[in-house]
Amino acid sequence: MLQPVDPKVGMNDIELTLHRKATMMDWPSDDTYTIEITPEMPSMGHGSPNNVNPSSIGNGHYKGKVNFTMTGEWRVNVLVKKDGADVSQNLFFTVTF
Amino acid sequence: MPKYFLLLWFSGLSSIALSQVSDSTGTLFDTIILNEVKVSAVFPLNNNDVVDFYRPDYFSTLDKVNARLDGMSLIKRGAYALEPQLNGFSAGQLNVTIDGMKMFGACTDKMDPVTSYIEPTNLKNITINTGTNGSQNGCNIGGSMDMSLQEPNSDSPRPFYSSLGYGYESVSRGSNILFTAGYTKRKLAWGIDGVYRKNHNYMDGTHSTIPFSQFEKTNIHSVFIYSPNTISRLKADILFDGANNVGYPALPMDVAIARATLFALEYRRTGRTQLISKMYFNTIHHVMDDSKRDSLYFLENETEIKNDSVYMRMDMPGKSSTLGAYMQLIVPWNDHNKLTIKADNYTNNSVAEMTMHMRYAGFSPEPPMYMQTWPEMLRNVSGLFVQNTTSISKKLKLTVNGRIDYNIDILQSEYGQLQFSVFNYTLEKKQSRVVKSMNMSAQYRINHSLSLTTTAGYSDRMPAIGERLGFYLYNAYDGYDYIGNPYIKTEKSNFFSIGFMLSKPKIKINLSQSFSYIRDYIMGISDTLIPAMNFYARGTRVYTNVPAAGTYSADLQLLYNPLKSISLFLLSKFTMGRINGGNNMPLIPPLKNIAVVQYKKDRFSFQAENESSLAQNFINPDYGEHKTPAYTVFNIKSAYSFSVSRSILDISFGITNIFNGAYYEHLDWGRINRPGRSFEMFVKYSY
Ligand SMILES: [Cu+2]
Ligand SMILES: [Cu+2]
Repeated sequence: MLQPVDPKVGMNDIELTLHRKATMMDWPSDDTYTIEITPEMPSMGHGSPNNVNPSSIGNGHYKGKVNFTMTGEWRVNVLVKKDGADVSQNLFFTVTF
Repeated sequence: MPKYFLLLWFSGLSSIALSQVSDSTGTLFDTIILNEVKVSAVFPLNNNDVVDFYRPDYFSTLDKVNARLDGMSLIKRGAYALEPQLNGFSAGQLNVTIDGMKMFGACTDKMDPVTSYIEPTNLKNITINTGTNGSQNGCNIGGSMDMSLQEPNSDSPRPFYSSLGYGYESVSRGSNILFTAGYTKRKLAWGIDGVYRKNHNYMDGTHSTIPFSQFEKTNIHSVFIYSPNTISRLKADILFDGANNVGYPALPMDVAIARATLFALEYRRTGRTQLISKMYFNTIHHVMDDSKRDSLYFLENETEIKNDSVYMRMDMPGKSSTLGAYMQLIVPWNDHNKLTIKADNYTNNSVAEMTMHMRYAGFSPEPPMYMQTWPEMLRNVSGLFVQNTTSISKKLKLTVNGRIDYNIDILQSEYGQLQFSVFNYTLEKKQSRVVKSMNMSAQYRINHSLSLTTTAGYSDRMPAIGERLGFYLYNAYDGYDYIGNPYIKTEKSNFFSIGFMLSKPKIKINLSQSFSYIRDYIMGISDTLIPAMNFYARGTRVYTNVPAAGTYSADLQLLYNPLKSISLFLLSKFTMGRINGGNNMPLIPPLKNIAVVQYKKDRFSFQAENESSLAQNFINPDYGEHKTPAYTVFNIKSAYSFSVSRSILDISFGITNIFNGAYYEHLDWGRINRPGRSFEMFVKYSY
């Protein structure tokens, strides 16, 4: 996850890069996946509205919008899909501010 | 002639104005002064008898008095600080002012209506105007309530007077101490009054204690008047009200501190042309407290809501300050016309925050979670009110008034802008709007004792800060988190009323009916796309303009004096409301009656009261409503006054809810029973 570097309350840009493992040494970027994000405040059990799922902008970068309604500890759940099938499990980033 | 003072003034439902001073629609009709005033002169005079039943002992906060006013109902969340509702309108739909001064509560959950900062000891009278005709102090659709502050007793035979009283009520082991003192000498007059109340949790009619129904408060008001000559005077008021540890059993939290301070300076010049000019400042500080509550309280009581084992505490402070001034001129420009012009300006600054602290058992606390439930906003309103009253003939009088308000909202909090970006808003810092009101009324005297008043009017009103910028305001009544709509439209109403008044020496009857047809009615509409924030919330609602809504109200007042020493008073109020022609408007009280019999002879008085209400079955379950059963309650009180040389000792004894009925009213949140039987005692020594 490259962004948000300086998360704040409100709407934030979120940018992720995705690299597929070709060999041990070779991790080419891949723009053919779809990514869904679901922010969540684990301690309160709520999420936020109007998030925009990151979409590919080339070179393995995916850009979208993530909303935080308050300060505190947030978890951004990420679901990666290829041709409609889930390829990630229990993937999340923790954002605290 | 009856013994007590009675100034019955049915100037029509559109203006139930209650004193000679607040002569807005005129005293063309009945102003009868039957005798000298004995106890504190001017009070809501058409309700004088009922009010006197409660007033001499000052047991009760202002709420008990308000409950007995024409058209007034109270929304109850706890034992204290009940919120006034006038013919189905409340909060931002009403102008509640103190001597014409604007003041706004600092609680996002409406725990502190402005009436909670005024006590019967410092109240001189209450002026109520219903519907759009309550626009003298600001354009509004539901009416107005103006409370004027007590002045030094200039009728006192001695320059210095004072009194000290103590009251006790058994149901809440409540103690009430009050005092008044004053000094008047030639051009100077000074007065001070104060109350201290401490109430514990009360018991209901089933002998159960209602937890979190305690409260404690202190109120002090002082006034200074300087009259350099017979026609002009300068007046200064200072009022302080501080409540601590106020429980709200129907809400998930209580109040640690609710503190208000008010300063006012007034210059008044009477004569043929009357001038009043006033400057004021008031500030309210409100701090909520959930430390005494089990944070699982709601979860345990709600099966449908997600369960969690957490420990959360919230800090929720709120602040509201208002600075304002007005100038009013009353000019009788010829024998038949009287013109009133009022120009006013006020600036209110409001902010409310919420910081949540979460910790799981055995873990260190998580980082605090902060939001601004009312992002800091400044609202400036400049208004102009003009009214002309024409006496067309001895029988007919016409009144026309209009008001225009120029409103600027400045969102001072950048954080508030960021918060609203999650709903895809790019908020402007500044928003300005114009709201207006126009009313016409006719008073027609059919014969010596019968008269008729009709009013037709239009008004719109500014949305309140919560309706514009509220951010996850939890509403414990319907269980939803409410979110504001920054660009919500003004609420508009067309109002019509008609009233009959009969006035004969032994009987007075006032029957009034009113209709309001509302467009762009503001209410919360569920938004399933926005997740709720509070654990116990069922979902989220966004303030939205609903195309149409309507209310109808009928009020009856009857006063009958069959004998010199006996009087009977009956008050009936009824309201209904519909939204979009179909659903019931939430929080509408059913038919309520109050009947009082009073016997007064020399120094002794006895009063018996019955208060009863029909069941309310016209409800809106989507908005958390349940049917409410009918109830009836009986109260009695008697008083005796001893005179020992120059001092007076008043003693009274009463029982409220004699039969210990377990009941609640439809507007009581949480369907929590009201107090059961209570023995009350009061002693007052005046010198
Ligand atoms: Cu949260
Ligand atoms: Cu509050």
